[in-house]
Amino acid sequence: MKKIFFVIALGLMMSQLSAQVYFTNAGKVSFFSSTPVEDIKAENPKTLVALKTNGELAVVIYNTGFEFENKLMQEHFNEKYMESEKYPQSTFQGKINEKIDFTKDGEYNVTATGKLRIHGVEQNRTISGKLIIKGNTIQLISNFKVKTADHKIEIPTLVVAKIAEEIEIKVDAMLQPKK
Amino acid sequence: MRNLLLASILVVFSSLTAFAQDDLMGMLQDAGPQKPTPVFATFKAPRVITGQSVEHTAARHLNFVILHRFGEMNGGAYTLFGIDQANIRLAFDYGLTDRIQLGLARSSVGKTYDGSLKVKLLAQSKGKKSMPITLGYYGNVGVNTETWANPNRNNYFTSRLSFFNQINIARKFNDWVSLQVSPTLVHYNLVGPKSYDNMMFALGLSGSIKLSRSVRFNFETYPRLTAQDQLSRTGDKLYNYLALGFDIETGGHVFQLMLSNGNGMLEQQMVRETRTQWADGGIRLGFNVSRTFSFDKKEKSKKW
Repeated sequence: MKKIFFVIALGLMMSQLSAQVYFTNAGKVSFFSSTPVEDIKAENPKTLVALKTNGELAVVIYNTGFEFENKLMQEHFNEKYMESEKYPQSTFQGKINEKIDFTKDGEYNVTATGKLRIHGVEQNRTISGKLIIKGNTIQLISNFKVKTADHKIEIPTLVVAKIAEEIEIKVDAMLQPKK
Repeated sequence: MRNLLLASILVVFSSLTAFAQDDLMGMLQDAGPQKPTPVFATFKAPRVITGQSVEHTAARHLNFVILHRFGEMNGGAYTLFGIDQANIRLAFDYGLTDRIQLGLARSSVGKTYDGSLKVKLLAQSKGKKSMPITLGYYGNVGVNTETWANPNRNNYFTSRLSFFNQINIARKFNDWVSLQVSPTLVHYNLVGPKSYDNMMFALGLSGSIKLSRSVRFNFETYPRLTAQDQLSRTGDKLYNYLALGFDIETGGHVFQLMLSNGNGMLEQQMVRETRTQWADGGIRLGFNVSRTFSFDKKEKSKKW
């Protein structure tokens, strides 16, 4: 009886260990807003991404880490639009819908369903992307769009011609096993 | 029994590790930057109104500013409330780094050219090891290039020079209110009578209040602490400077609109050569427009 307990406990521990976590703190997330008047782009090279082999996925972006060519724009992005002092992070928390064999190299088209939180407003989204598994690393790539209105990011009428209603987002992160 | 205890400890432990790993979001929060995060936009622009704020032109950015002040409003409808007259200052500010800024400018008052240096020594930040204030230095040297009032006299080039030095200490108290204190030292090589001090101390007080995401209300005043009863070189009575204004941000630009009793827009002229007062309508409408150019090749070349 005692031995059975022991085995069960050990088994539980093993099962937890087998769900490996992949992680990076240097994922790249960029966004692009295009209108006839102005193109605006910025990149955050320090995005935090964690992926568990059971499909769970989490992304954390510090809004002040977005780098713009025009630093005045960067300040306005944080102060006026993202309100980074109130909402310092943009996050995604969800699960990959497909069953992936993480031990096999290859490219997998996947979708992730979960909560996208930007500017303090949460939206349920299913976002498509790609996982490229190569040896010990997983590259996560995704392109998707975000409507500013969905996250209550108001664009003043004065600059409405300069900022697109739909912002394109690009994610490129190289994940490594977390020790 | 002992084995049972061991087993239950193992079960508890394994469920604990399971909990820790389940919470991917918690793991990412722990892995986030541990550095203090800088406080941004204490003021909207490198100038509160006419005087300097603790804000800088960013590294490898050139900020071209046109400062413009109309005439006194108490001229009435005859001068269209001062709009017939105009003074202008053209300023080029370049960010050598995010904390060192060099400037060249020309003001129509006194046909004065000036070079300036602005250095940020402390930057307000939040989080671990945070800094409660932003502290910076601003100084300039002005050269008056007007023709000599009395060309027959023995005139020296050094008489044309004036100097401005100040320490700016500012704090953004919350999302809405920022205040700045600026101990200031003004030096003119040439003042009126011999008994006058070349040096004058003043204490600048400035502030900014956010009215909406695009509009802020600003104020600034530079009460003179010494030499208050001195007249100008031409014998005019001088007053303390006070200005009230608005910042209007229009996507990449900041437009500043103000009322002030100051005529000169070079900082030492603002402190020491304000010849009219608010009390009798000696105020002027004015505006600053700026355009920032980025020479940041690194960011530009990044492909999207």
